Amino acid sequence: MGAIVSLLWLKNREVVRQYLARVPSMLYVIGPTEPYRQYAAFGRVESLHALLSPQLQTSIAEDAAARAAAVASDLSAAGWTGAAADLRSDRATVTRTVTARLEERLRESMLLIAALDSAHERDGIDVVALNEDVMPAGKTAALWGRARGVPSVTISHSAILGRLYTVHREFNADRAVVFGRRGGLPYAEMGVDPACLAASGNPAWDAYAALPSQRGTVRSELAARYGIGANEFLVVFATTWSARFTAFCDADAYASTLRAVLRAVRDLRARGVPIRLVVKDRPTEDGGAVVVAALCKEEGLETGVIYARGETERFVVAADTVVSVDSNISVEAMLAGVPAINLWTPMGWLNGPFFDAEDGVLEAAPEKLAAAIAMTLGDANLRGLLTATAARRLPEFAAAPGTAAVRAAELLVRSHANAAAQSRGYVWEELSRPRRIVDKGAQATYFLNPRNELLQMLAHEPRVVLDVGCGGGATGAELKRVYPKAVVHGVELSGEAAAYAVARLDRVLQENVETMDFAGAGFAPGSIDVVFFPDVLEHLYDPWNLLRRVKPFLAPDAQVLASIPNVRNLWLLGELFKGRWDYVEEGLLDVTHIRFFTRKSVEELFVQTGYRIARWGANYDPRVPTVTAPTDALLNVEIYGLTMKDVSMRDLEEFRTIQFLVDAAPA
Amino acid sequence: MATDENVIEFKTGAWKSSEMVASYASRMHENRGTNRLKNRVELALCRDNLRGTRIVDVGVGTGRGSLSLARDGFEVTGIDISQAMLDHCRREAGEIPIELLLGDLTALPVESESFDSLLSLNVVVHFPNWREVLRDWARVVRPGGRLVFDVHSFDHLAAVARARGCEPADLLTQEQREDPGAYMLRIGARDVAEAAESLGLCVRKLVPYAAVLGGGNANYWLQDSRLWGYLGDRALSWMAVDEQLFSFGSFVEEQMIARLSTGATGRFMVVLEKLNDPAQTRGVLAYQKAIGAAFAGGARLESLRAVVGPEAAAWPGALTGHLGHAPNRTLLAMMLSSPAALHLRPLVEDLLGAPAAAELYEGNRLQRVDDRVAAFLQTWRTTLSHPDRFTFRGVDAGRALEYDLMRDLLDIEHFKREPGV
Ligand SMILES: C[S@@+](CC[C@H](N)C(=O)[O-])C[C@H]1O[C@@H](n2cnc3c(N)ncnc32)[C@H](O)[C@@H]1O
Repeated sequence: MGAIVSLLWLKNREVVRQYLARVPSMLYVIGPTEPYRQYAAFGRVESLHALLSPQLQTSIAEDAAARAAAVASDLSAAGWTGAAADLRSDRATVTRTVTARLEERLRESMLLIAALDSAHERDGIDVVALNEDVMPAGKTAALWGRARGVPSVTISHSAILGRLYTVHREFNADRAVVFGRRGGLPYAEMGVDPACLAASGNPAWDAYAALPSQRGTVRSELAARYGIGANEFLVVFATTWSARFTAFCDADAYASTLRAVLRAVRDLRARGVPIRLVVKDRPTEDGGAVVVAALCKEEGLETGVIYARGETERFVVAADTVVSVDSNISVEAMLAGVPAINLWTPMGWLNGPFFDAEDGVLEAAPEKLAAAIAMTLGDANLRGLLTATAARRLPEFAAAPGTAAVRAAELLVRSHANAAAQSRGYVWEELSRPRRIVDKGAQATYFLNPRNELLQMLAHEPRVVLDVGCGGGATGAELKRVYPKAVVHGVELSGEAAAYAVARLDRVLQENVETMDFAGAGFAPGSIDVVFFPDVLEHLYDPWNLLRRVKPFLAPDAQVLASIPNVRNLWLLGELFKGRWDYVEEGLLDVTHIRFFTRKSVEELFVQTGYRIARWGANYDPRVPTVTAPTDALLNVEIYGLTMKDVSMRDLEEFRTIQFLVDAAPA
Repeated sequence: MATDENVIEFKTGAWKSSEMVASYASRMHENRGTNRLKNRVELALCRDNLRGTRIVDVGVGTGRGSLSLARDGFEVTGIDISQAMLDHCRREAGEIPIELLLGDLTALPVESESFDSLLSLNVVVHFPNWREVLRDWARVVRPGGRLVFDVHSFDHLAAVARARGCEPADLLTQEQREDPGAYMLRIGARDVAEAAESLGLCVRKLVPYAAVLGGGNANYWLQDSRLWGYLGDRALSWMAVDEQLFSFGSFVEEQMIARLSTGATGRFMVVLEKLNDPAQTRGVLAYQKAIGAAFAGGARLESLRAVVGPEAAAWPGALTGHLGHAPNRTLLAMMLSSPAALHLRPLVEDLLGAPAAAELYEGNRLQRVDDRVAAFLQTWRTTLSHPDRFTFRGVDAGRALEYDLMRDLLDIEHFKREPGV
């Protein structure tokens, strides 16, 4: 089992869960593991940094400090003019700015690199999922991945509608999940191979799949909570901020755009339009409530303004109009079927534009905002036109909500270094998919290779053979090669396999053996002298009944030769101990198994249905180590995190068994 | 590289399927996005420059170029190689009388000298054998009649390439250079003049347009500006709904750009007349040259007015009026953010006054701030005595610093605040 590292923000953690459901893995996260507690069902969850011993942390911190000090001394050395010459600020200020938090920032990166290395050594990291491959942690992890050959996937946290400027204009991960085609445009422009991009929607917007249909409920719940009158229009304004990563940024945008909205609302109220304004601030905007209250006061809007920082989706869904400034929330409004107004600013166009004229988003400069809001509230035709246009354009912005996490996880799976994991789907998909012989390596073996270990158990020259689950007929064909006089009847449910077997066996019944009528199929009582059940009984709903029903047709010297998977397998116990019980395409936990057996219960299966077991054999599990010791030894075993006392060699033998081989005779 | 035969064959077949017709109609015919401005400019150029009432529209397509003429009483014959296009045009025409004929543009299925004028929009641009095409077109027009059609401007590519110190072909994408489907004929004023002369025609006008049309009508002067590429198209799309923006765009195209040379924009309208008048053709070329010279010397309003004439005197007032609308200002600022527009600053000052010009060029200043800080981030570590102080276990931990440092440095360089607070 490999590992995935997730540096994803919590809002995207569903992506990780979806990945784990497909590729059971160990999960490393940054920060507390608590939010991922339930994911332990798929594999261990650990905090990446917990891998670093206190000693290592200290030595890395010292290393970072030494490096930062050396850099600072270089920078202050008389000879250093360097690239700072081009900057307008004086050299001392530049030096101070560069060195101010250098040690801490360097340390963070170095610790992350060391932690990633430890995780990789321990479990082998298959893929790194991250949210921004340009921000310090994401970039470090992506660069680390490049250096170590571990694929990384960045999941956009916005629809990327505008220009990717300065620090955002790079691509460090190997693949990117973008919300829609639009989000891929800047990457394509940068020359990123389209095959590295997937337009999967925003995992954090999956709630919009269902929420719009609950608009009434959401609205009345909010109305009750905030005392919103039935006649009041709900206008939601999402505040903007100045990120200051480009000089094309209005440092005063927060206040100036908020003022524009407050004025528009005030004007509309003065004209008798009852508006309840929700100012939806950024979750990180501490102290925002105070600032907003002050601005409201200055603009003469002392009542009727709700200040909110969370519950964005609910406010959007309940809104009559959503106003914002070059924001993703316009796309959320599209998802919710609510008209969106983009407050036009010159910077918005210089950094974008974010929307074109046919996106179904209304644009209004500050002085026209009141008129635009009034139109979206009062003009039903316009409302209809806007929402219909937006609905048509929505796929450009974000793939349909509801499946974004699953689709993003698919990209992670595809990135997964291990090719075997790539072809793997959900367990339920396996269940519903008929097994194919030709295109599946593993199953080709399953169906097309003779079961020699069963053939070797033959104790007499076979006359009439019944091979239940004969697959492609390989075992019967081999038997007929050695005993040309034997007549082999195969039973096989899979049509494709049966078609193969027809050419090899004397007769193939394409039937479900559980409901098969042996007499009706022409078998005379006491006529069959060999029955094969090669890994078949555990796939049956009622193997007991089958054994009882077939017994009258057996000859007195008949051999029933079966192989049956062992669930008292030590590797499997280890998995179970770790909390794993992962169905797979084939093997001990083949997803189509219905019954599970230990040696004891195999014995009971036969004895209780009228057989005696003449001989036992076994196929061993290469994953479980062998131990050599005297047969009467009692051992203490420590493996897979389990500690066992006084284990007999007989028990160990059973622990090592992957399939029991049984030679049973009618009693 | 595709051969001419490939291209001709491909282009001749390109519009034959009904899906293609439907997609073409929605992209080009309807007044969406910047089509609105394109349709206005092109149709006006046709109307103003055609002579007489019997008109043939070659490659009539959906009827974009001539249905409105037919509606206004012109006697129009449309010719196209694609029956699907003709069917679409017929539907589009409804009650409007128009004759539609199936035929090839190099062998028009009509009598010689049976039309007063020929028009053809967005057709010659696809055909490398354009000289052969023109020969048959000249045949069907009566003496004194006109031929009006658009071409992509090689002069434009050449002028931009010269300014950038590269080859004209370097400006094109790989696809434009190699894919026969993406082939576009690019010719210059001289090529047109020579071909016209050899057919006994004269050049009446060469009218550049498509400075602000976006889409497939690249104005290479705008490369690396904020009006380039898909984001520029997004801004231009608002012309479809913003009347003041549309009227500004029309002003720029029809009053200003139209008076410049074929180096100004990626496309120009050719107006030929069936008249042997080499002096007329030389006059047109001389005007082209004079405009070119005015710009080569760092264009000023005065020098332009000397070539363009009194119309240029109306530019400052009209422009100032248009720039009262904020999106128009921003659009112009986006145009002027092109590195190529830097040397136009004196002209912009002549037109609008120094303060307004400074405001329009503010973006260039901001861009320099970004560039400066970005350049610093790229290089500062290499100037240290040990640049590898940032490499930890083979991973460059220094690159992860860039994000925060960009903001910190912009804070001191531009936002005049304590870094990172
Ligand atoms: C780009 S469309 C232009 C349509 C229309 N004139 C307009 O501007 O919207 C090119 C048109 O030329 C037609 N065409 C292509 N090859 C042609 C040929 N060899 N002879 C005549 N028409 C041709 C196409 O069928 C198509 O309708």
